[in-house]
Amino acid sequence: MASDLQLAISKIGSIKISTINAIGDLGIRAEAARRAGNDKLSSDLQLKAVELAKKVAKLREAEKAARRKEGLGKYIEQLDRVAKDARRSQTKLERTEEILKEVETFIRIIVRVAKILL
Amino acid sequence: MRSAGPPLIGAALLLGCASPQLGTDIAQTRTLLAELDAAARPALALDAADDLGQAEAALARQGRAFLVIPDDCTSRISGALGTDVSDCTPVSLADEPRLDGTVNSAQALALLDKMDAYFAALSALATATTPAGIRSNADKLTIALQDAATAFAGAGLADGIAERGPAVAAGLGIVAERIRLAEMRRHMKAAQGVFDEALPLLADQIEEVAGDARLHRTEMLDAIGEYERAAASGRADAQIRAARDLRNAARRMHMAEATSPVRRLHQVVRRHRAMLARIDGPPTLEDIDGLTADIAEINTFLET
Repeated sequence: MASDLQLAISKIGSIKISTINAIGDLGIRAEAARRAGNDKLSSDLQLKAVELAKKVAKLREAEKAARRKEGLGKYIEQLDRVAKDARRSQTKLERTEEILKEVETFIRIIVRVAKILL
Repeated sequence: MRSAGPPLIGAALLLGCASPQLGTDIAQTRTLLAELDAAARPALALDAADDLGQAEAALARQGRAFLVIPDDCTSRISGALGTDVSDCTPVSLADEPRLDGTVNSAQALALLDKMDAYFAALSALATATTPAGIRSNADKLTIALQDAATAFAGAGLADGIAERGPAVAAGLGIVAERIRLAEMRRHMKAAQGVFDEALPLLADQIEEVAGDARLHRTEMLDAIGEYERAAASGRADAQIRAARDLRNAARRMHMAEATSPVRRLHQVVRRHRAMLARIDGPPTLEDIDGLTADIAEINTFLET
């Protein structure tokens, strides 16, 4: 179940995306107005887009402020475990290599002893 | 029965064992991470030191001691000078709690350290010569067994070992390679999960402390607004001035975004995702080429 914090982040994110879409729409309409020779309308629409973009920057700050409360602690621990686990994997592989070498040495010793005794 | 063996082994290995060479990709990703670290660490460290100073000052205001001197420090420095340096680094009581709670620069630095440790471990696993070493040791083991068989049971058994031994050694090498890949896949999936969740938080903190792209974006928005108003005013000099300011603002913003450590961070995570897709997906032609060479070698041994 999502926490209140996650719901708040999700809500802010949703408003942010709607606003970004509106900015895109204003940009298209401003460009169309400029092509049609209506510079005044085009300029007004661009100014509206700039205002909305500043609102998006504020929404992004609010989103960040909400997200920051989560902290990075659990990710630091998780990545630490992954790195240690990766090092253990290599140690296991190296151990296999060593065991084969030790078995070879052991067999050679037996062969030499057998040659002496037989 | 012997003739059916090699194609079956070949098919099984081909299905289950891609051998992507990720060593170079990991090395390049580590270079990106080092660049990110170099760009972000000084500012993060300053900010973390500032946070620590504030936390210690708060403890001091509460009338509490905030530094702990290591137990054996005074006895050590009472002794004669030797080869060892006396470790008397004071430990701050305000240090530990900063790794909990709200995102801060100490956490960002700790996570960057863990990323570095993870990529170092992954690189060591990817470039280890262990599977080749296992194969070589298995070869030597075969020769030792052959000697033993000759010593104890005569040449008949030794011939059998000589015939089958190289295929066993090659097979062991491939099995070791498969284990290596399976382990790498497991670790990379786990790390990608962490990266995906931590990325926005770490990026925010780096941007907040070590980047100025956001500042230049605000400046750019202001410059666009100024230009639009100047253009609508009909005053040529105002528009020319605003156009110059707008071009300068755009150049500064592009520069800030291009050199942003956050951009490097995104590149590191994106590369890791691409490497995971590669190791988790079907083998490339190059991978299959290397693999078929190994299988052909085993088949040759088995058919002789």
